[in-house]
Amino acid sequence: MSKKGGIIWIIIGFMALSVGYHRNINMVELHYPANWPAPEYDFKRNPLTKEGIELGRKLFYDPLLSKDNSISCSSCHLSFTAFTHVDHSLSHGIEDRIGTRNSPVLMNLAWNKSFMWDGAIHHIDVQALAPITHPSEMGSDIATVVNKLQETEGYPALFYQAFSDSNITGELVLKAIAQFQLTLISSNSKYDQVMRGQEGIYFSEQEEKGYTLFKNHCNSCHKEPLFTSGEFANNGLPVDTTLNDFGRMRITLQSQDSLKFKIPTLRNIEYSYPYMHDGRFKTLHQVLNHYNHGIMDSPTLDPSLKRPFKLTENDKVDLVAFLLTLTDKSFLFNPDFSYPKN
Amino acid sequence: MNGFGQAHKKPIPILFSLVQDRIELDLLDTIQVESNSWIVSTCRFYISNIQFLNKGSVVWTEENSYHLVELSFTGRDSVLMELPNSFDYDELLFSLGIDSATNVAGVMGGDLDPTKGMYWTWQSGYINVKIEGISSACDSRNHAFQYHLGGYKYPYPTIQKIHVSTQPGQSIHLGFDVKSFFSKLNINHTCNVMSPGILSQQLSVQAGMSFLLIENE
Repeated sequence: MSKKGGIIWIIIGFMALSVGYHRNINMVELHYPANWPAPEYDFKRNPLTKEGIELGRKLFYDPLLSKDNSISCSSCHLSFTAFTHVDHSLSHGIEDRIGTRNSPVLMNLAWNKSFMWDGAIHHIDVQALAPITHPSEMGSDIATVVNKLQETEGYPALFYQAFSDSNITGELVLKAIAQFQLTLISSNSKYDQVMRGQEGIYFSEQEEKGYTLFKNHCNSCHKEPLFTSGEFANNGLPVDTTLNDFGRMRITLQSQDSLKFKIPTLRNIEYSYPYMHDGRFKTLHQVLNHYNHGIMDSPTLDPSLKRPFKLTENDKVDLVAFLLTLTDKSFLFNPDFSYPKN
Repeated sequence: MNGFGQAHKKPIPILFSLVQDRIELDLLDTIQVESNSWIVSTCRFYISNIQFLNKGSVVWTEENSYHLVELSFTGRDSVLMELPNSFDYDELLFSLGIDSATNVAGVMGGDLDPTKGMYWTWQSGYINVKIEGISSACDSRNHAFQYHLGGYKYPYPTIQKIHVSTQPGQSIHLGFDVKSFFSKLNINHTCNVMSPGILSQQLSVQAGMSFLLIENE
């Protein structure tokens, strides 16, 4: 390249930098434990900024995204209960319509390889399209959402702050929501503190026994440290004939995926009842009873479950005690994650 | 580099038209296929990865090559390429649909923005081709047909490669022959294809084969 061309690029570069400073963008770096794998999410495509995250949070809590302005993301994903919808086996959306699946927890999403119980959504940036559009959830569509946001007094300026563009697009709405969700990291439970060797924090005898049981029975699917391998598995749940939900098979159209659902994380499991893709179990004790004697055999049953667990009543109590150590109050009550005050 | 060789570029429009029997259609014209009549109310598709070739070698590739071709209003749309004057070419190559890498890369803007209505909400992935309308061949509600063709995963990928013979000085006018597309549909076909799978794949192949070059008048 000619010398003249080189100098022009330097000048353009300088101008670009000064525009960046003018906009006062605040880059944010995610912090997570050293022993965690690298995130799956490509942050280069959607770098986290304070402005983007705040905008995303505002959108997450805004019922404007729904057809009748009644349902926001937080309606089914409440921060204090691990960003799920407790006490509901199946969630309800606009006009009290009932959906077909239990609302999953939202945490550590940057490590997800797929989204939804059947992995229908493969990237967090496009996940919000599903609830926004589902007739039993928010009943709207992304183009309508964009138009509504553009007509508000406040949002165009917030989009300008976050993306240098007050012209709102579907891409920017979704990226902002993704940015907020990516910050929802839970890594400070008692379990984490014990693993880190934090001073004065130890498992009780019960919890220690429960951890051993966990490693013997549950670890193949609910792999530490994320407490999920992110894979799909058939854990022996008999099909609910009122729903006829065959899970992953609907997406891959392969019979070997029949009745397989995404292995959820066990973090904050104390707070994310009811359990399973259709919320059929209200308590952890019921879950353990299922693994003890409720597993239904089938060609796609996960090999690790071919032999039922033989947990005694004491075992169950110990195992539940361990699972309770996965509760992370600093996550559940983090003011940065809950309803924005402004 | 952009900006330094502007005087040496020439714009090459690729014009798309809705046609039957090589004649341009107005949207809502009736198309007769044997004993059935068809009326198209929506026709739009993605083209991507546009390249020009000479003697089998690629001489030019468009960057960020994704275009939503919208034939639903006037029956016509065009995409503008800017090739350097010096290039010789004998072939245009593009994809009908969006490649799998882009399908999994997250949300995009411009013609790929999900507000364009060409992205599945309940399952990730682009809708490559959308053709809607009514037909006497359909006993669906309101005799409506809806073909939303897409899917990038094994074993039913749907992206199609389209080759067009052309050369400098020749205008590139491509017809999307809906009559040909409807003629190839199975007599027991379904009027609604709205998810990835074998039907989506079969219809995508048919859609790819429905492009033809309209010669200079």
